[in-house]
Amino acid sequence: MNKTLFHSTAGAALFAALILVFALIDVCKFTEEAIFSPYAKHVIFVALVYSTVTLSLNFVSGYMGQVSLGHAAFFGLGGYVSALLTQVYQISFWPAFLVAGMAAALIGIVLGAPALRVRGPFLVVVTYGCGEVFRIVALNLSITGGPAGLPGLVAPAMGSISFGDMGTTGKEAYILFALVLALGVAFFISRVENSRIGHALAAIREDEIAASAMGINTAYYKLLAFALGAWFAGMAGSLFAHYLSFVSPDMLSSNESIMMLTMVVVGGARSIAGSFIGAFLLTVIPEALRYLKDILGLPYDPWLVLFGLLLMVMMRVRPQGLFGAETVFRR
Amino acid sequence: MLLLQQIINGLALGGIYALIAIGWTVVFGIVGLINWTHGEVFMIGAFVGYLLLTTVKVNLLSALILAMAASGLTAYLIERLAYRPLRTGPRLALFITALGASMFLRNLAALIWEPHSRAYPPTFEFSVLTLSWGNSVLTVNSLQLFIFGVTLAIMVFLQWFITRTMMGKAMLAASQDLEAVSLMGVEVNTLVTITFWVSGLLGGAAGVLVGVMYAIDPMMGAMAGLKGWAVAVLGGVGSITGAMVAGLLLGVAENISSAYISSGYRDAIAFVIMILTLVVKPTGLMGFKFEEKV
Amino acid sequence: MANSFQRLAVVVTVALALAATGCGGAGTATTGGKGNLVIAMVNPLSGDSATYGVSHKNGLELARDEINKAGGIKGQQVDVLFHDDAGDPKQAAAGAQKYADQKNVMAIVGSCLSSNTLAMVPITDKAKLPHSVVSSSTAKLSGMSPYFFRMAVQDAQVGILMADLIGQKVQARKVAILYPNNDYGKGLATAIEEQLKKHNVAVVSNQAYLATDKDYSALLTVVKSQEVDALAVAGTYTDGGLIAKQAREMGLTIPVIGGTGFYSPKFVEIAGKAAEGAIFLGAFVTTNPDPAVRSFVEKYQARFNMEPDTFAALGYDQMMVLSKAMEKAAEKGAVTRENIREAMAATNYKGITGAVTFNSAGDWVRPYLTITVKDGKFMLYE
Repeated sequence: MNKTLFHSTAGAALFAALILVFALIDVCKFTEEAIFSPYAKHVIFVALVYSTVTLSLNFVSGYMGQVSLGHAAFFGLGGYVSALLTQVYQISFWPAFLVAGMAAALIGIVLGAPALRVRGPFLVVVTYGCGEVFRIVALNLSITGGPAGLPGLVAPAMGSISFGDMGTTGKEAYILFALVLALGVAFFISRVENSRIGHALAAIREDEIAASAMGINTAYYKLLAFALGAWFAGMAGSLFAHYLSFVSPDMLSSNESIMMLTMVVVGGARSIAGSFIGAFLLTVIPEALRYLKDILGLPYDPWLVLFGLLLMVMMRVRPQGLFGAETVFRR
Repeated sequence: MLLLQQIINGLALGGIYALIAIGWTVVFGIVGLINWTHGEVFMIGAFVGYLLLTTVKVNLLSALILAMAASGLTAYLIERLAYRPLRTGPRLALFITALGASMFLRNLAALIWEPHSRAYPPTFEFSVLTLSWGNSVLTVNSLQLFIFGVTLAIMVFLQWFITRTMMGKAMLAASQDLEAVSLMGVEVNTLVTITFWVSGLLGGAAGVLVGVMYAIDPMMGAMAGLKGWAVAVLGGVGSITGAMVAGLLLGVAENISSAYISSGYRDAIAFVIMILTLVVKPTGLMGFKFEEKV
Repeated sequence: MANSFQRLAVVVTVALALAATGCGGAGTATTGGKGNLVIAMVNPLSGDSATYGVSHKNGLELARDEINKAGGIKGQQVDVLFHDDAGDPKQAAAGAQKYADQKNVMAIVGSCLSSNTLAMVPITDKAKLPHSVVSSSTAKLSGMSPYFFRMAVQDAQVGILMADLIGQKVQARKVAILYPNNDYGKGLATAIEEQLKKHNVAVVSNQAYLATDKDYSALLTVVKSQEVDALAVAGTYTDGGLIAKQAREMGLTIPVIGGTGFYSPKFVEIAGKAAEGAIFLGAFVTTNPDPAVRSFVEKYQARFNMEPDTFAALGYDQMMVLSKAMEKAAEKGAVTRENIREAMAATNYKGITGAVTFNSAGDWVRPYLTITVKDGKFMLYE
């Protein structure tokens, strides 16, 4: 178990430093041509956003043991709420961002309620169903823009300077913000892990019936976990939507939820470092494969097929994930 | 009259849902596993049927039987290669393996057979029958009757299998208590194999019927599979009769909601029903219990 | 041991990250041969919408090969790069960004889905990269960027023509409309309904469905009970085909009118006998006696072993339009993104799908053909 951030705070600091260098080195203009293309920055930004999402799902599924296959609903909800607030009500990004997170948290409580009644594989299916219902609703309502979603979202701004105008590619500010968000969530989770709440969660996860026999209010903690997980995912969703400048029902798809769960599984449940690694690997591998596909001239993208195989192999070879503790799963 | 027509329309579709659902329910009831690959087994049945009808040009009935066999084989192979090695391990790992296998099969199919929809070649002339009394008219076409007939035949056969044959009775008993059955001398592996074969056969039949009635594409397993699971839950997981009844109910419910509410929410109906069932009455219509042992 | 394994995992991740981000852009292997002109395409080549993407790609490639065989653009060969967006707007945006970064990419085409294109335009606009599509019918794209040139069919135009067809040629007095609840369907249905009012035709019902639905019996039962003279379907060949088939199966014999999405051999395959007599609009039909069209169809058939559809034909014209623009740019001095943009805006090219020009909003206002199905074949409707 990781008692501290990553393997140590040094690990976190090293990671942050790497990202900072990556983002800012071209601003210093050491070389004629930029070292890192906007495309590279795009990929790293996406990986950082998904790191936050993976952490949030890890909190619900890894720490709480409530495996959720509908997490994309919170991610997308955050995006939609912040889109609607900024577009329809002309609210600026920062308050919208916070409200998006809170709205997602509220929905997390609402969705968590039926989750209280079901367990194990049934929970997985219920969360999947909830996620799909969300997506279908977003697809049908005109206020959410229907299938095309809501385009033309404003970029976040510091004062009067928009994120898109800062730095050499317009993505640096986003990367830094995503980094701060991810580290913030990671820090929060590591603190919770060692607190009373964390111990209660661990007890519930290991043996729910025994925990409740000991007087732990399981319903409260489960809802808390859902709410917090949803809150983080909602914030990540808001940031992502404004970066893309649009939000669409694809953000809510079940494929997204499955991808998120895979990131948790590959990285390792209950591991903060694992969440980052899982997110980065699963963002970067498809891009690397595509690059390979172009070089080799393959007629199709092998990622989708390999993805399924990856899951199957992982479960045979290392079911606890890359960074998960050996005792992550129990019968 | 409109309502009655909607109900009749829903029955053929409902029969197909029931077939898919039974496949889910027997596996869950006996092995305790949510067989996420069932949708893909269904899809493979549909495609094998398509290939047989277009390349080898067999007649419909042969295509149906061969496709069912192909699906049964696929289900068996999945169990043997992907699930069995993990059967003694943690249940979540098994589920994630199922998820992975499903993604793998689905995308492999999309790779081999391109991702667009295909239609079965016209297999027989359908005729439209109209019944009228007063000034209201009901139409049924022979295609719907055929589908409903096939579904009924399969279910009758299944009932016979469960109640009259040794293996079938063992399956029924195992869905209540697998350990007890194995203590009685039934080889668990054989039982599991037969269960998966049965689920595969049914899934394949459903696939061919969908091909005859609608159109097929490599991604069809996703939605159909999930709806099948929703039906299994509604009927009470583990209960075959429950799945049959619930399937018909969902088919009709979808049609009615399409007409009276909005077709855009059609797919959501299945999920909402499933969620409500799990939250309100988790044992479903037929009250099959799934207990969490302390 | 666990620790060293984890360290390995971290190293592998970082290595992959560097490889994927290409440290400043990929090698020439993926950017086209040296000295060649490069066009990029972002399209769904896998996933549900792959047929459109693949058709577009085929048409484009056919034209590219013809151009290259004839000597290229003033001696320079043309290369086309492909990025599969799998129907996902995020991947479309990533692809657009990737090609925008590559300095030798002169123009970009795609995607074919409105939401994907909407995701791409802000990126191509910022990079000042000429961007053209043959599909993406949402009104939101008009005038979105001076670098954006749309050769796609548009709901507003098609809807009006469909309504005219219903009111004047088919002469229906009561109509039911069915549409998929996506941008395409909604836009088209709205346009049809408004224009029908001008013909004094009553729209008795306007029902939405999910494009992925297979069973339309519920909706069709309602339509049947309304005793309309015609059924307008604002969908594409899959859902349209199923609707036509199921309508006939329940004894509904009224004419089925569709938009440009109906034009595909798949419509006949899926609808079977029910396709007979369906009437719809198109930008292109293979049985068009026009010699330029005939020649294109033969070439396409010989190479790809199937009949071309609208996207293939438009892709072919699009490549020609781009090549003419690149020629003009070369005449001006250099083939640059800016010169191409200027040349595109001034396009006046007679293609197999019509005479291409772009208005100030970057849209091509084109003529449409009315097509029907007779004996399982597509024919011009008289």
